[in-house]
Amino acid sequence: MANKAQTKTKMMKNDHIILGSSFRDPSGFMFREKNTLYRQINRSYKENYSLLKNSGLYDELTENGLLIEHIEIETSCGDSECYKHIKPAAVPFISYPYEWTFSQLKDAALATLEIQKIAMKHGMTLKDASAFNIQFIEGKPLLIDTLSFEKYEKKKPWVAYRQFCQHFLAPLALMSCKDIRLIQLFRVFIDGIPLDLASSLLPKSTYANISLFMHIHAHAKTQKRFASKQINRRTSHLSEHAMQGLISSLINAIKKLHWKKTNTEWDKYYSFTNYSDSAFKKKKKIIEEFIDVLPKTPALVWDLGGNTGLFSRIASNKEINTISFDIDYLAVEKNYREMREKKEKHILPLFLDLTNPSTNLGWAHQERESLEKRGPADLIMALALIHHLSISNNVPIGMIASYFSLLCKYLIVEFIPKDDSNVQKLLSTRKDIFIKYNQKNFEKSFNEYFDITSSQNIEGSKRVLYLMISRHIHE
Amino acid sequence: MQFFIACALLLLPFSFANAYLDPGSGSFIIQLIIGAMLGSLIAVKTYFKKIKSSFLKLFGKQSTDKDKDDEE
Repeated sequence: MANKAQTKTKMMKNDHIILGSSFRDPSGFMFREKNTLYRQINRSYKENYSLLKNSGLYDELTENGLLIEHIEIETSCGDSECYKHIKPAAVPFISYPYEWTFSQLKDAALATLEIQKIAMKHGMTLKDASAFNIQFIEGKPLLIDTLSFEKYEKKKPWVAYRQFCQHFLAPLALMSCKDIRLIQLFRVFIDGIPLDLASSLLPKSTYANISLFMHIHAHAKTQKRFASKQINRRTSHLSEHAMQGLISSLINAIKKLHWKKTNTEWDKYYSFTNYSDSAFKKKKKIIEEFIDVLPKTPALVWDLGGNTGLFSRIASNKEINTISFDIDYLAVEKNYREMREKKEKHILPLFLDLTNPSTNLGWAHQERESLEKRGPADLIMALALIHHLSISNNVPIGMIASYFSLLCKYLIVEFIPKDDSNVQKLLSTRKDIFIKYNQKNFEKSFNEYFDITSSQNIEGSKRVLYLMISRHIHE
Repeated sequence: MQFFIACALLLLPFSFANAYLDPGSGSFIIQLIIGAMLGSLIAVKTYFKKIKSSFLKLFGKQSTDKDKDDEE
């Protein structure tokens, strides 16, 4: 399949670039032309596409915010396999399941099952149930693969059942019953977590959970038992009642999974600050001024180390698409819950370990893009972050400046001096070998990659905020 | 009911034969088993609801408005 996609890339005009993530499905593929993404629908998918549109499924899903909208493009394809070109609505930022927190994966799972239920009502079914096909747009999980549907043939089992268990149920069960960080297994197993692995990692007590017993433990054992055995096709019938029962059972299984934190823990969780209320307000005001002074309103902001999104919301409240990254799952979860509760449309909380950011993954390293490849952001905010990278992780300031200059056009960065109590806390358990950690060297290092356009002291603290422009990335 | 399904899963002989080799065979089979059992449950529930509704119609005079609302 990949070879076919590569051949196609060569055959197409120079201004058509087929996406590296779009080669598995013979129904069509995504391509980029002059910075706009399009999807080609192949002739082999013509009937299913017509059914999607004519059955009312497309309308119901798009009206309910479950499927990405698209418009049909009136052009000749120039490809014998091509049936149609469509232009899907823009996705501001592609995120991956290994960057999501618990509730994001859970909401994506429930959205997938809801889509399957609606599809069946219209005589169609999902032919895949990949978590990578779900994206968070305007705060809601949305299916972005328009070609995921096929005609539902009565009594035919759900072809995406195994994939759903691997992509959603297994990681959610592991996060809920074992450890929240196990979602990182997605970085290794990009087609979802193998069920035998999930079964062996889950606590034995989960055998008593009927849903998990059926869909993970018994499922894994059956997979092993029939790995090299032949089965009779004639037995493979699943009535409509049975299919509904299966989907309802999966919905119940997902709904019963929770990240076990008490409400008190959620309520008490807050961002620790060691400066006064007035300094805090001053900091917010300076950031707001820095954003307003930019020559053009940024289309995409990344807040690195955004915690629960307090400062991210300065940008998102201006209707700027803002990705609020943090390394703390609890902070990301809290941020996401706030976004969901307030129905915010312009903020997306995501997990990110900046010392080991998401890399290119999958076939030919092209299926899933690195953080850098999904950039650059128009603006990066790095507030109260540099001391964590420099002191806790021993990253020289020059290397931080160099990396940031590749990720953004503009940068709002905060420098916290060594005598600040937060920095002192980091130094309390280790020898101070950070002789270059000072404001002078900070400015010198960043000045090699950025033009410093403005700097302001935060009154009531020893901290300094800078607005910089990258020399590497131009408008 | 789901408990009985789980117990039944443990007892199944898994004696299928013939046709084709498929690494996803196990997923296919478990889905058929779970689906068949849960599907039966739905069928029984639907049937039971019909019987219940027939009885309610039969003794309609005794049922109050509240009962009717509950039934809806």
